[in-house]
Amino acid sequence: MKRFIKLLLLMSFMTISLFGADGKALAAQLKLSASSKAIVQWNRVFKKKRKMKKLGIDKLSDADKAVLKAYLIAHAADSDAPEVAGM
Amino acid sequence: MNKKILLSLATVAFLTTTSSFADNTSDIKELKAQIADLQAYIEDVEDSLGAVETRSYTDKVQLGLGMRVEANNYSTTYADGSSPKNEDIVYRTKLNINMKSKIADNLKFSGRLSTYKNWGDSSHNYMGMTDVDSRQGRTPDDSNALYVERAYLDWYMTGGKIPLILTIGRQPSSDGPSYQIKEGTARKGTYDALAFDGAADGIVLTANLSNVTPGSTALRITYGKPNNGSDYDSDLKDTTALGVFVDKQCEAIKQKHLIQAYYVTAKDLNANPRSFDMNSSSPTYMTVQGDKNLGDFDIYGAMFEIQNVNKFDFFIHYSYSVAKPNGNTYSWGGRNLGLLSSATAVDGASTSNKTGNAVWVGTRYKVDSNYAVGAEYNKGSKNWFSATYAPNDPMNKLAVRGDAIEVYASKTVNKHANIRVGYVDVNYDYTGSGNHLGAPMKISNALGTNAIKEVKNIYLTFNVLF
Repeated sequence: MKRFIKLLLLMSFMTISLFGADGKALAAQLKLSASSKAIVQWNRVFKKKRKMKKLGIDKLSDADKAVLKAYLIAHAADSDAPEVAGM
Repeated sequence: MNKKILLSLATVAFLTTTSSFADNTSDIKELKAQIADLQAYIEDVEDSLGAVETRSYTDKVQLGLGMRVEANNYSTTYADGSSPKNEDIVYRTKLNINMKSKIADNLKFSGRLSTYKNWGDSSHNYMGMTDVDSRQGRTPDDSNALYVERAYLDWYMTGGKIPLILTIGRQPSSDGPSYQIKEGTARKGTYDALAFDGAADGIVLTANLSNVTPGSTALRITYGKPNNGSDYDSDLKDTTALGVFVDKQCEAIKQKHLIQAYYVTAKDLNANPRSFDMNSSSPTYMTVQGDKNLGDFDIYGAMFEIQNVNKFDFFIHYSYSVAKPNGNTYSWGGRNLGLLSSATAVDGASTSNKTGNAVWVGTRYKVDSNYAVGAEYNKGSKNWFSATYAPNDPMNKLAVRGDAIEVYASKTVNKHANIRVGYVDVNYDYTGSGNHLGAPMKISNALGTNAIKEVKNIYLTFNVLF
């Protein structure tokens, strides 16, 4: 049992990536609120260059765009939201 | 908006009129007609949007759906090695109607109505026949109900550097972390599921310390009344619980993760004679014969979970429980039961502390966007006791005084639904798992008491969350 826990912890910490793009930070930087749109609406934004330009998303790299899109969709108004007291 | 469109069209019209005046005249006429059409169209759109806007203001509560249909194939072994003769597959349906409402910028309502039933299982009588399930929900005398599983208000009392939020009502205290990893959903409860799982009425004060600490931090102080004894017996004190929880997410870890540490103390636990005897082979509710306060109870613990680490999710939980019996006992079935203690004809019930602990670990691997596999293991000691009275898992495997393993595979049906097939094997080392009444007895010494030694379950669930 102890060995199993040690192995699990080791695997966790070995594979944790400490660096990388942060969708939340990108959204904050562009002053975008994920819950202001539904998933379909965010998908629509990322399909239209004009809409991306309007929100400042066009200036991001493709990798950052992908991270931002994933974050916005994960936290969209109709996404599966956490249910926690005081959140 | 309309003015801009009109101006643009007029500009286009002006710039493109370089040919003869006669041509221009006919073009302008055509453009005017188009503008008139456009104006009419915009007015129609405005009318439609007005209706949508009116509806958005009058739809005060948003509804969502949660549904699970499950099949469980149990296989039970008693302490004496025997098994029930006939264990049919148990089918169940759980329905959740989830509710959300933003009443004002500083006030939010959340709720959940639910029903959970075994197929073909109800107590309706019809023309001399009993248990006619087809009458449930179809007759005026229907006593079955949709229950209020959650109903709470989040009041954002103060802003500033340390926002304070008061959550009052029937709390989001079930299906907490890391239960959601197996389910493949967002976090669905506040508290560590190893120690707390079930509906609870109470008050929670959350201090959001994220502005004054690195990363994200929430401090919660909780107050609840899990058992209201005074309604039934004026000599009885109500059970009350007070807790402190800290939720932490670190800046350095980019993956979705949660660290939680907690301490909860519960005073004046009642005998609660309606308690379910978890280890009985013929589950019945104990007869009410007068309730008693049996003592106090503390529980400490910590957990860590992390998701999307090279397609893996991991979690580890540890809890430590301390039951403090006061020597009172409740008489049932010829036994005198105290808080994790028992009295004999010669000796009174023990008043020494009974300590227990439990660990729960698990992992889930996303094979691709459609398939995932996972495994969990938990182990509880002789005197392990927690507040997991009402988990989604009817076996209450996390309460086991013994150990349990679970393996499962899930398939995504669409973004709102999945199917999961799994196998759970719960091994009981001691009696009374999940129950605070009576001294746990080694299963090998419990021959003749119908104590369960092992339960295996192969299950299939279809889950929808929309």
